[in-house]
Amino acid sequence: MPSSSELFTLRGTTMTSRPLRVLVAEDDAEMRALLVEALRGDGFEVLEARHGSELMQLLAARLDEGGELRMLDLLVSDVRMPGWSGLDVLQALREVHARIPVILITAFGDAELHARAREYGACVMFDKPFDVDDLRTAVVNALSG
Amino acid sequence: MKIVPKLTLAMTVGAFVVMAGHTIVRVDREVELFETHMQQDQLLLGRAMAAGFADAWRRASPAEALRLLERANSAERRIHLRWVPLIGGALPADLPAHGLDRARFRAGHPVSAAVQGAGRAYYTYVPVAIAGYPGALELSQSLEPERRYVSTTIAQSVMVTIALAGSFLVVAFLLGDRLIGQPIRRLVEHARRIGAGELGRALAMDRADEMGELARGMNAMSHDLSRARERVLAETETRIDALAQLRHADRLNTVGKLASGIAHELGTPLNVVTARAKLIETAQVEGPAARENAAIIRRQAERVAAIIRQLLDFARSRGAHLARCDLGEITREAAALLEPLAKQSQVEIVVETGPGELSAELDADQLHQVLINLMTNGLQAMPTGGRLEVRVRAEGEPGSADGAGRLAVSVTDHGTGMDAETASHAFEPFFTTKPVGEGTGLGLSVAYGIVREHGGSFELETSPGLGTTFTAYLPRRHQEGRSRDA
Repeated sequence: MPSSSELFTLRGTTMTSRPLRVLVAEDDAEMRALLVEALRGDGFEVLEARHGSELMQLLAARLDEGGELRMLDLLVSDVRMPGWSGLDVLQALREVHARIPVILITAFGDAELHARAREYGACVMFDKPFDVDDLRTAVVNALSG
Repeated sequence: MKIVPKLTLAMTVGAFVVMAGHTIVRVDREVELFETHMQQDQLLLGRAMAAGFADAWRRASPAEALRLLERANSAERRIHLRWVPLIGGALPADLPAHGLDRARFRAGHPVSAAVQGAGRAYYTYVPVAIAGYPGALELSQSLEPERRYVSTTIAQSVMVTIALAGSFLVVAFLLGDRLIGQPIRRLVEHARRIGAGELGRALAMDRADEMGELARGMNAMSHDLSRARERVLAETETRIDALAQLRHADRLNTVGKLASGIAHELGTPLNVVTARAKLIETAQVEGPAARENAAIIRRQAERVAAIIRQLLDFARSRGAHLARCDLGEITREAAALLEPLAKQSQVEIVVETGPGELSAELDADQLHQVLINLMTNGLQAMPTGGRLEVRVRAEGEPGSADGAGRLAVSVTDHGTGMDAETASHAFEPFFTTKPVGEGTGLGLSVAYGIVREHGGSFELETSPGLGTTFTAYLPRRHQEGRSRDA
């Protein structure tokens, strides 16, 4: 698995030398801790959101007029959360043409949910329980794409 | 009385009256004719005899004239002749005949009158002109033959009338029964069959009269009813099918929701458990970090176990173990148990009980759980503290025959409240608005299930931003079968 520093070259010349920043939104504290720990272990800088509303606040604060999310490279979000669901957030991001790769995590991903996630442009969707290593790989793939 | 006998009787009475009237008129006319003939006979004979009598009186002697009368009487026995001398030129007052036209007699005309009663007879007085001896010839004839004739005629008429009326009665009855009675009985029987739901058979009555028309009308009605019944049956079957499909879809929906809830509730801790276990297994963490991971694994396993326990509670098969207990007491116990948690959230739990008797047939353990769940829900709705009000009261008459008396326990929080969408899902299993780990979404479903199993019901009043009141109504006396139907 490539490290965070190796990814800088993967993303091309426009990249700054700052570490890649991932926002993890998950309402289950233990699950969030696990994801944050795993991604930090891979050298990413990780921001946390405890529920959908907090996630929206964090995203809104970083969104500029051009649809770029300042200082944010990837979003990993649970679908079912109090307040805004992961899917609502994804839809809102697409409506403002925000350019950021999104990985969704769901506990009960039926075909309809997967279809909607694809429609809104989620990169990957993981159904709980999943292998955290697979998520790590997906994060790297999304950032190098 | 049925129609045919009524009609027959009416017709017979009518016929009897007509025939009797006819007889009376006929007898009356014949009696009148009889008397006219009698008067004419007496006048004819009287005039002839008066001339002869006067002649014999004048030519021979009065004795000769009287002998003439005797001879006439012996020759003709039906009419009796008698010489009546006048008194002062007028007929004597003591004549057997009354009502004689005496003025007419004085004018020189013969007069007649009938005498009724015993010795009924017809009398005619013919004036006889003998100088110095004014008098009259009295002709009398018994009315007995007339009376006999009238009696015989009446007797015959009565017999004929009775015979005719009898025949009429029989004919009218037979005809009436055939033309009206029988068809009506068949129509009534047919109507009864239609009433009993036997719609298939048509009534065969090929007649051009009103009965036939009625039969055709009934057949058409029966046919229409049969068609309508078939339509209703078909529609009912369709509805039953649709209901069965809906129930099936509802079951699938419930199963889907349960599966989704279980997947969400168990998926997350299992994810944490497998990932942490893998970290230890692959020696990515060691020493204190490994212990910390193991502790997380244990906590998550405990969480899974708790969810499964709650699931079992939700799907529990054991019925309520009912015993008479005090709901006020159960409520106070539950409130006491939650007091530390309430203090932590700066919530004051206020319990109000009564007035009135608050005992009912309840499963104390289960009701305890209902109250814990409701109060926990209330506490979680007020993360910044406040006042949680719990009220227990009696409603209705406790002694009423149908056990209408019930207890109501309500839990009111002044927290976030719910919007209509959230409220409509509040009792659904695994529906929760709380962050994962704080609630499984089973608490209210479990409470709801327990209350329904007690034959009770739930009420939810809520207003976003103002708070929520859950009220559970519990019958004092548990009624068998209600919990299953509910």
